[in-house]
Amino acid sequence: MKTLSVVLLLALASAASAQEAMYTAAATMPSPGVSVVRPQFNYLKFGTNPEDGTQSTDRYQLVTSFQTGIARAWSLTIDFGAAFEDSENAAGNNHLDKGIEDIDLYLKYRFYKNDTGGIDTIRAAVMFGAEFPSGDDADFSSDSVDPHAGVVLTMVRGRHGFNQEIDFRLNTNGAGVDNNGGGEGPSDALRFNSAYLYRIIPDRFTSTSTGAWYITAEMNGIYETNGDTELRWSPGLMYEGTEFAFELMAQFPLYKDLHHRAELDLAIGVGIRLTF
Amino acid sequence: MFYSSARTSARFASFLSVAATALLLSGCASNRPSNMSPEYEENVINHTVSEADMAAAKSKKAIEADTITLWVNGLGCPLCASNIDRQLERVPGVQTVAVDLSVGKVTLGLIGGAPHPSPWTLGEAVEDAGFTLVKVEQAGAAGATPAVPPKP
Repeated sequence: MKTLSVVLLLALASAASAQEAMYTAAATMPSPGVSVVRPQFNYLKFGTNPEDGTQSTDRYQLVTSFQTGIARAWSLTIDFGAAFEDSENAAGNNHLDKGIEDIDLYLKYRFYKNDTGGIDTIRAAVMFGAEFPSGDDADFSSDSVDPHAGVVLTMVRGRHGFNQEIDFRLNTNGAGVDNNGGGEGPSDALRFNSAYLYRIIPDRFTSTSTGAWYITAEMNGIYETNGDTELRWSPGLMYEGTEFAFELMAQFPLYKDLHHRAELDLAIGVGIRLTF
Repeated sequence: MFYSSARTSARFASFLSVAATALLLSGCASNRPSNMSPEYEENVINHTVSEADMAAAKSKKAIEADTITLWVNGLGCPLCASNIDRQLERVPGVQTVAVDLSVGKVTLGLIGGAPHPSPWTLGEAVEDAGFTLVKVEQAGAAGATPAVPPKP
């Protein structure tokens, strides 16, 4: 009989900002005194784990990001999540687990801005922070403070938007942690993400425009210092209004060279962003 | 067999999504009529700004009119409008804020009879919101010019 294992997973949710795809950060942020809440629900399906022999894993996770503008060009973000995991081992037995993963707290500082037109802009920001232990067991928490730092570039021209992000995380412990999804330890991890956003509706903003639809296309990569490398392709759809946004994406493997964790077969995510 | 089937399905779905996106984007690019300029199709908005305009935008002298137009760069999305709304509404003397993304314009209604802010103060609020104030026009000001939309 299938037994569900619930594993708490903390996915590094991107900061909730305008012109931002689901898994790639942007060099945008709420202004001082403005906050954005961004809950995301993800379903991820993993294949065989070469280290522990798990045959398959279904993960259901809810990740919430809370970002607030603290000063001009500065924002503070806290990400926290919970997950429920159903895994099947080599003997065909199922295991259910659930928990709360480590909490990510980081600052974003926009050090460059060049608004070249009514719509157009080029911006760059740095992000730096750390993940802090949730107090849960090794299935959910690395039980260590893991700092990370990165840089992100955003460019908007008319209907086109581009985001490029690179982020390095130093895992100071993480031994034995459930590393499905990658980057949770024990090896250090370099993430590199690219996103393209294209405004499909409206083709031109009008004087009364209050929302827009975008298609998004992301390439999400991760390299871990144990040699594991993965690249994923993530098409998506986003609606952005003046006070909220809705996003939907799917994620597929493009390249996998994994020897220490399970590989992703498929992911589907849906989320909203609320500004207040 | 189930899991290899799942991976095969995922790979096929991945290929379909890549192909569909490429077709969609190529279709969007090719939908531009042949007589449309690339800037029009790409929705590029360029404000006509002189050095005098830029100097006026930094003036610390209180605005006289009850209605003022701010020409702003970087307003790339609807959420941007929300950010600039909130910052400008906090400026003492500002009563209403209307954002027009089509030309990168923000129209402010100032409280009649109350002290009005200066262009510099409004510019600081625009910078706090994450954008750039390039020109200020008071209602009825001589020589007021709109943003120049690119030719279709």
